[in-house]
Amino acid sequence: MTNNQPLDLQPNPLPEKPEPDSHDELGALVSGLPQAIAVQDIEGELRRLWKSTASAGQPVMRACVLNLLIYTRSREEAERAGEIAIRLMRRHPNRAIILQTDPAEPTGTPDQLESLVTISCLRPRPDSPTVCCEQITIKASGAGVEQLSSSVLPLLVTDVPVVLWWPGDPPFGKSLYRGLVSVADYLVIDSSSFADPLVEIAQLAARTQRRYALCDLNWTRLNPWRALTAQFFDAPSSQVHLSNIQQVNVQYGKGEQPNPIQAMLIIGWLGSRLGWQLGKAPATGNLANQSLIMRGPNRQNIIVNLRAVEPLDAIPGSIVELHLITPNAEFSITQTPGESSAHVMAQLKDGATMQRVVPLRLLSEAELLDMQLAIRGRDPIYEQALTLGAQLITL
Amino acid sequence: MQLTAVPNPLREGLRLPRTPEPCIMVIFGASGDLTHRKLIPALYSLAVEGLLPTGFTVVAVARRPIGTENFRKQMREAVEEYARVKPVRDDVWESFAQGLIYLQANFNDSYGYDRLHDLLEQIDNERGTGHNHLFYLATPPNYYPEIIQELGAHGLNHSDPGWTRIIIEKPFGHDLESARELNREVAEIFNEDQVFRIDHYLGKETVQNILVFRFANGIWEPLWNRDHIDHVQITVSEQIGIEGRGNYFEQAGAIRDMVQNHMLQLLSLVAMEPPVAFQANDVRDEKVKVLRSIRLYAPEDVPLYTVRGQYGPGTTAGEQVPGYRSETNVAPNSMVETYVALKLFVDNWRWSDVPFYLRTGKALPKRISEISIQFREPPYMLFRDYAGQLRPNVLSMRIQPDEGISLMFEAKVPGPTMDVRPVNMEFRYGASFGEEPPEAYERLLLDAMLGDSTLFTRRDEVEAAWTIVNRIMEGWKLAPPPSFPNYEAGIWGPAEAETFIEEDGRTWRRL
Repeated sequence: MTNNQPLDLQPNPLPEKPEPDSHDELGALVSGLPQAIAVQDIEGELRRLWKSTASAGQPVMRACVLNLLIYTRSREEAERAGEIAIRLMRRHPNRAIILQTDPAEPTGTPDQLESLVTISCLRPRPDSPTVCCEQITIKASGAGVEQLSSSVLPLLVTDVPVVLWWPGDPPFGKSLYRGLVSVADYLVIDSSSFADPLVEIAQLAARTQRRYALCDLNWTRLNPWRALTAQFFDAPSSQVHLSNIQQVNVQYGKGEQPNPIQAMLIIGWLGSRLGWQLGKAPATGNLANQSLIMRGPNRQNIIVNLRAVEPLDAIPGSIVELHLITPNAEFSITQTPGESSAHVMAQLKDGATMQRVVPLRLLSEAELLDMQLAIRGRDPIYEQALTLGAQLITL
Repeated sequence: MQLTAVPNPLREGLRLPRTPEPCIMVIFGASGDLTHRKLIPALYSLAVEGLLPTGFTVVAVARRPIGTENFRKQMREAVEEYARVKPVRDDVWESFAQGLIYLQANFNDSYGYDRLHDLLEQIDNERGTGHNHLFYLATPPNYYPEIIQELGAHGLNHSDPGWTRIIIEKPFGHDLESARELNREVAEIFNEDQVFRIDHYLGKETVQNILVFRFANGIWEPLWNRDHIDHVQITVSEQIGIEGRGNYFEQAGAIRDMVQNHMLQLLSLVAMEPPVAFQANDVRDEKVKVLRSIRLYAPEDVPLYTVRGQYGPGTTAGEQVPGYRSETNVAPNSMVETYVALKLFVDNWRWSDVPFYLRTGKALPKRISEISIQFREPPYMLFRDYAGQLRPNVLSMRIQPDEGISLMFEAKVPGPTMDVRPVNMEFRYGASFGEEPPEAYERLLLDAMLGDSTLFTRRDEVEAAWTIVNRIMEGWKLAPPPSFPNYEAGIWGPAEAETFIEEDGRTWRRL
């Protein structure tokens, strides 16, 4: 049987804002009014809040399938992380533990930790019960930052995975990072935001064999592109073209600093699936626009061209076109300018041209996380794509 | 030459194993209700989610002179109303609609099939559909034999290169003999692996979840037998009447409409042995074994194990409802049953002496489909002194609405005394997964395009189900005619249905 869940292509959009619970008395308790308390009192405060929801008379469902640990560096980031955690509740009810380290907003007592505790609720559908999840924000400054990882440990819900989401540049090697990642089952990062792609992608590639599963939202953004590319070759009559690919052109959005990681990941994906290796000839061009040669399993050369173009969306580095060329056919996926769709075309020499328009919109951070959290366990396909892609980027 | 599908290396790691090859779906009876309400909306939803292959084309065949442009307009309206994925996206619709082509033809007109043949060739060349053809019989069943014959006569029953398949809607036959005859006619033209007999219940997420629940969890199988289960109840109840389908229902009755297909499918999924592999024929082998194990009553004994009913006027959901005999195209003295209750036994090692109570009906208090497994009571009741009456554990699988699974068990009420109450431990799709599940037809059409027949009914499966139903219908013919109507619309069926189960010391679940 097929799994008809279209998680590869486009998730159903998450609600922009969860529907607030309409019961007045319950709403006051669960609308997000923070309570500032000491870290050691967090669990007690949560128990009190749950009792309050029960005594309000409205049945609610307490749900938690994962611990979502989020590292943030400002109040704004922490607030945004909290909103995303609430949006994820629909499919991934979680206990969110948001770590806020903000030098501009120190805690009341220097070197100490402060915590805020809320319970957030939403009703996924009008006919479904209210689902409530816990959100804990721990603010740290000064020496208190180093206490964060030890304060997190007793707060983790047992028997469910721990997902550590580190937006921005993870400080690989720093003690706080090491402490937090030591309790994580999944580490979620976004390589599109790496300030120094060359250095950080190599560091990332070196971490594919760690205890935790590595999850890159930049890779998740590629899911629709991968699914559309794979579809070209599902029919047995089309599979012959796979081994005859002679050129791959990838266009991606350029920004202030070039970040070709996503482009390299898709080449790494193609190469690792099809048995390509790096050719001996050096790459030409520069980091933003380069050409290189790869070698296929039949010793054939595959020309790979990467080109940075004006971005169609707000995320530089995102792919806008993928074009595969074989002697007898060409396959292309092109994001339609200004639309949330793509033009997909398969053109056979001496044969038909098949084309269609499919939805292909830029996915929000919450949607990417939503897709990522649906995957259980490691992603060896990503790890192999990353390993090969990182070699390309460092040429 | 058939090309063998080898795994697509780019598919590894993607959630969807593979998407179908480019193909043409030919719908016979395309001007009918099924196409408007189910088939095209399902195909559009698949298109939006990128699950249709590039070049996918629908050829809609019907007798009315609609034309392609009008057909596309009608289908746009149908999608606006019935598609699961809304709002309708203009860009995706335009691309999808390019692949909708209407062909006016009579089903018994040989020239129409010549034109169809030529049209398919043209589409294969222009849209790259690879000579892959999927025929869908959405016509009244009396047209099936001639359509199948004509397809064979015009060489449309096979493709080389490419594949050809045929989907046949229920009802598959009117009784055992007609089902066998139809199977023979189909088998003369198509191989069994080309034939997809559709029962849309099998496309429902919750029905598929029965297999996942049973075979992906290790805790249930040790209890799933006569040693631990007292009985099983399967209820498929409709609040509405027959909705103007008097012509159809007068010929079918509840036993053909629901029991022969949906309910026996649910029973076989609950009662089957674990298959050796999760492949179509391995799963269907086990289902057929269950159907063959169901005890066939002597015709004269059928009334002991069945109850028939027909609704009279009443009130449902606060509204007056006319009786069945007042419905459009229903004979004023109709003796067709709108309600059936059955007690069946699966005579094998696992289920010997465990009754399966089935009930289905129209104009009942609510719409609900549920399977409930009632377990045996504890061997010794320690808490009898403290509880009014302890209830046995019940595992219920709610197919629709409010899809989910719940387990009822006894728990102590907090306090100084040993007070015991039943509580429910629940999994609900709506709370655990915020997603709307796909419509059943989306899943089934996709599987048919992929050639996966796991969720479709096999020839022997259909005939085994008809064997059971035929025996019941024979018994009814011998029995004195029932006194219809014998329940008013809006209640849970005739009083005899309550007596029927209470005589066994059991009661119907209050739903």
